Amino acid sequence: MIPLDDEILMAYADGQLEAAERAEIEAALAENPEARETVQLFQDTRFTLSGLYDAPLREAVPVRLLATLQEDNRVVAFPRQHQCWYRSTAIPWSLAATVAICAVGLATGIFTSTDLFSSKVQPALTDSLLNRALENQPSGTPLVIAGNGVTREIMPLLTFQDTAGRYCREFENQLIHAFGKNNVTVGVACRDSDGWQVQAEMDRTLIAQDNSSLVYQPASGEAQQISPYDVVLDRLMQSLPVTPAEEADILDRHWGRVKR
Amino acid sequence: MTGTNDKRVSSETRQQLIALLPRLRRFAYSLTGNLDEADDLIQAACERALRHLDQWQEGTELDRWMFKIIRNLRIDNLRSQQLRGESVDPHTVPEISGGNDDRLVEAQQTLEKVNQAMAALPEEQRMVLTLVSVDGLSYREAAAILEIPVGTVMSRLARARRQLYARVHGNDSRPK
Repeated sequence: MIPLDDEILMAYADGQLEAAERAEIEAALAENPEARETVQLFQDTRFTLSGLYDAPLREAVPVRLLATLQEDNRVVAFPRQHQCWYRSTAIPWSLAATVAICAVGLATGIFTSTDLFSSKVQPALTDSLLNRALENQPSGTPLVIAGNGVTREIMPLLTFQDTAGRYCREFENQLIHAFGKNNVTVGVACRDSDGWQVQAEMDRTLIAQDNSSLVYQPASGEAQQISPYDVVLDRLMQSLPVTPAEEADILDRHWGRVKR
Repeated sequence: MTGTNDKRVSSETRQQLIALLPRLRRFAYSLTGNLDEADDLIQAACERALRHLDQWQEGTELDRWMFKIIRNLRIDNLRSQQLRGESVDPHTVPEISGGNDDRLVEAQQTLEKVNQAMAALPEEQRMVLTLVSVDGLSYREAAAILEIPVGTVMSRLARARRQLYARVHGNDSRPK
């Protein structure tokens, strides 16, 4: 007979026991209300910390850390100056109007090095909530998930088709949580057969404000002051976003067919 | 392994480390409760990793190795702070700004309690708790990183979670 101590009850609550042991515990629990309460305690605390420290997963990695790991010194910190402006007229129906778009007018193809993107824009994280929001929410309507002390809001901002005909959506990802911080990132994801793949995501403050940011320093010539996020978005978004009516239709069809 | 002991760090490994940064930062953040301090820790860990990459056995998991480095550095830091007589006050709780939203206020209160509970834990309990409850590792994996028996992981984790529970659900008995 296994003693019903804290350790074993916690392991049970955490799903870390083998089937045989689990069955034995379950039998013992049936006759022991006190032990059941202990299991409840450990089930409760299993997720107390979930999401609490996730800010680094949604923020751009600080330049100094990247610089430590970068082979050469192409990446330099640079103060940003008035290179962003608000695109406030093109998309009047959604909050996209509040998102600063910096990429307009810049030639694509400046960034030929692929590792440049992978190192500075957050890598795509598998995220079922994000997937759900992008799959179902109309632009401007957030999906709100109140968790254990953490509230997450994901709101698609606009929908467009990229040059390859894939549907892509720009979105805002908010985490209202610990330490007084309300993390907001803006990202762009495109839909393929496996679901929504995040192409780029960045802390909104890095995109929208005069702030130090990452720039690409070419071997010769002036540094291009533009965030990798903007470059990705600019590369993908070669046509106007779909209208709300078109979007509603696309949502109805569950992204089924790509309209030509 | 080959004996050539090539110290040059392959760009592939650098890319792997870069890809790990968000997770490593989360780990450090949950230990320090403070992003700046977490980044100092990560920077030192990256520098150490690049210097000692020959000690990493290719094929074993880089993230586990990095967790170990971070853990060792963290313990070194805490020890030297104690030696210098500095107060160790790892977790701070800034205010949520514009908190007139009920939901926000409630979230803030819960988080303050959780954060205070985290700060009150002994470092070795906090480490187990962060590896298992924040990073989602199994007891066995946490034991391997911390180089302690699985039984020790379980007893530390159980104690940490009892304390966490008491703080978060407790009444006003907690110290002001």
